[in-house]
Amino acid sequence: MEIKREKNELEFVGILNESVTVEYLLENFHSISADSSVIILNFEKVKRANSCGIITLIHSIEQVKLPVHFSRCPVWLVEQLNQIAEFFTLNIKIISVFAPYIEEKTEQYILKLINIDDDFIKNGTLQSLDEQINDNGLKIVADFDSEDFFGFITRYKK
Amino acid sequence: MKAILFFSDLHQDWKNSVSETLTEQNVTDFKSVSELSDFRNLLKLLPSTWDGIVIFDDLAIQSASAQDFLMKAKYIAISQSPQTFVSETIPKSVQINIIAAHELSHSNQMGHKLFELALKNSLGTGLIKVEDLYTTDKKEIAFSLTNTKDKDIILEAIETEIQNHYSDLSPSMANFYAGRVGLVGDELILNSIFNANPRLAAADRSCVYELKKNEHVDVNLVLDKKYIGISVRDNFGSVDRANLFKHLSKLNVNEQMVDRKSGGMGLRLTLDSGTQLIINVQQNIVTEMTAIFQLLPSMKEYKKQIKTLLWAFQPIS
Repeated sequence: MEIKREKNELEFVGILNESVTVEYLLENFHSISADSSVIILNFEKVKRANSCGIITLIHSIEQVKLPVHFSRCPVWLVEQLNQIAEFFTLNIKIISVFAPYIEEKTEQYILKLINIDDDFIKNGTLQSLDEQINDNGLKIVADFDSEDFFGFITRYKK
Repeated sequence: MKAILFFSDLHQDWKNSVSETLTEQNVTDFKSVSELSDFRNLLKLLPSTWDGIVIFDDLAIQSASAQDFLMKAKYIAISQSPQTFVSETIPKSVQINIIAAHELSHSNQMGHKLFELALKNSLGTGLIKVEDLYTTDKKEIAFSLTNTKDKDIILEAIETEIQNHYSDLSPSMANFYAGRVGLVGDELILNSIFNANPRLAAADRSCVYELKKNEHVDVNLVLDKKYIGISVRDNFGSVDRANLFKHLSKLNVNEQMVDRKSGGMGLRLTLDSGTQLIINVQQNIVTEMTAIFQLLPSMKEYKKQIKTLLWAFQPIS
């Protein structure tokens, strides 16, 4: 898996699996930890992760003092965030995820980026996510159960 | 030979179907119970070695004898709704060695077919023939791993094949299935390369290893109109029942898995991603693990599916 750095954001590219080591991740984490208050991990270009990769990621984050923000999380990662209890013991925050929608008129599948900011957590309702208006003005309907898909919101350590 | 079946909320038609299957196989000495008390009485009567299938529900697992029972049975079938699969509803104080099974009657056709196949096979020898589960209109592709680096190459080929084969699905759904099969294939192959193989069990997994001839891992992809199946086979037959059920029981209570290498987490990801998981073991000879994915038009429907796990074990004769 390749890691690209842009300021305090690390963009992961490829597959997070057994070939990724704690040393490799920490080397990249430490490269930005000196001049930033937060590390942002961008997962958009991670195709998938296996259990070895997830465990390595968790062990690496455990060794970092700065809070870690998960950005642009694909559907597979959202599912794993909901399944794997260890994520919620970490000093992490999920700041944006891709959620699957179907455009009602065209029946096209769309992955919509949902930002999970403090306002969303305090004031947003999960029901409001069931139907949205897309950038092109068309109605899109969620292809997920909101409470299941966004179950992680109430569980991660803030 | 006895086949003892424990049903809870199965529909009557399915109970009848299983009974007919047993009768066709000339098994007349079987029992079907629907009350926990009857089940407990049956447990007391079990012989030391026992062939059969048990279908649990969440009442049955409260039985203290259930663990012993599971260690004796040759075939164990478990079905569970995904909503409660990793739920925390079962208190930690319940010392169980198995996950709950219920709502079998709502399982898909493949789930039913699988149970019936297991039932018939319990009367014979050898591995359950997973290929019998698919329709005749299917495409099969075989791969073989001769070194650990092959894993990612094979998974890439599998994902591409799924995306091309199911081009009539929306691209997102084809990607969804490709990703799920890729994830599960990854976990099953990892298990066969490392966990099953005593030479590599403690090896650094970030390194590349050549596999000796008896360590080769065979992968079979089946593309059907209704299902995708991936089977991964190794020559060790070393899947440990007690260890498996220990991991399964941990899934219920959502305990941390990181300190236990990847075994528990890999199993959880596998069970949660597929529709059916068949663990087919000939002790010390071969393990074939098959994950089956039912094709559905939306992710939401897919997530609602009932999961099935089948453990089929042939001891050394």
